[in-house]
Amino acid sequence: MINLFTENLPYKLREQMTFEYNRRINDINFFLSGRYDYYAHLKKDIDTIQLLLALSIFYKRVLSNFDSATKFTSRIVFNSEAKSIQLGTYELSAKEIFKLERTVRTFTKLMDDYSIPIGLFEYLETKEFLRKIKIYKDSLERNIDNG
Amino acid sequence: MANPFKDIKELTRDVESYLRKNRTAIYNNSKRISDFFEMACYNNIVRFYENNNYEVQIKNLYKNKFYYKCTTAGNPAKYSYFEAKRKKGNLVFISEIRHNINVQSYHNKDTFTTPDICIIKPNSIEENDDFYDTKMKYYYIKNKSLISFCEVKNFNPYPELLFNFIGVVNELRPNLLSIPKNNGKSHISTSLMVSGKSNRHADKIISNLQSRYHINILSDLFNIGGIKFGRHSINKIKTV
Repeated sequence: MINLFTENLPYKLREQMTFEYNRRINDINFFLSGRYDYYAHLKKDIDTIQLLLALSIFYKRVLSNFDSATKFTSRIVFNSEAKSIQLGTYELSAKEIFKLERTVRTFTKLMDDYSIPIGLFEYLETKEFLRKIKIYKDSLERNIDNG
Repeated sequence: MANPFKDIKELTRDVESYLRKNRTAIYNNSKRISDFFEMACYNNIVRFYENNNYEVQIKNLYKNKFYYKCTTAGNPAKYSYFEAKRKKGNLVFISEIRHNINVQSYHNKDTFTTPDICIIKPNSIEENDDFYDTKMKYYYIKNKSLISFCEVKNFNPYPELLFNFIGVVNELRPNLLSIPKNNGKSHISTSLMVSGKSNRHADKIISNLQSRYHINILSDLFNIGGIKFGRHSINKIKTV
């Protein structure tokens, strides 16, 4: 699943993301293997869990950096006479900043469309991620029952 | 409303479409991720000064461009920076917030290291013609011109990273390795800024180091960088 996100990324970043994804998938398989009743009913949703895990890694390792960069660049470009930021040979202009912002904004909108809270992507341990998935899925089912 | 557990095929299709449409922006900018994180930290330091009643101005723009110093080499005079100014009665205190400046060791005059962000006294850049074997000049500041510095690491905090930072503090600001009786309130104390979230063990190390030394170790800055440097939580940051 992670290949969907990494195929156009630089090698080093691709390697880091693939490594993290594989390590966490092993953890998830362990938790869903039947040893833990708490997670047992998530086993049939493994495809969705894999996609959400890949989305979370992509968000944390790629998009959150873009978001951070726009805060600095906006300060420079929108609050001074500067029209761009020169990073070595690369020029980060207002147009580029707008593209970065749009990339993050479109992603957030897509997550909204599928009722996926960005908070789901904030975790350290895989167990924490899986616990969030369980709570999230339960809340979606409750909403359907109520309504 | 769509549900990822029921509409997995639709979600996968929409994600593929998103990645296809934004492919160029994602690829081009993902090569600069470490620079972007450093920029975010630089921005947070500037916010610290703004929230501490400093007037902050951008200096040294060239042809309407902010020249960001990405490497340790190069003449700082050719790069842009921030100037922080505060008035106290008739006195005006000025400092410069710069990036990738070589700093002389506290212990030796001829050894240097380069923190990611430095807060320095104004007009303190020095030149050295003997540093390199070639005619190239080496630009640095004397240790006494350093007010404070911040190291930025785009990693999850791990023990060696945290302990290595203490080595840099010892080289540049050894006086911070004991808790001062009276510390100033004008500048951010020497800080380690880490993007990732710490686990329980790293949390223990951070808490331990911060209780022993007059330093800040700020982790999880991807998620909560903005909050840590906000107007309401800035009092928790140690100062000098």
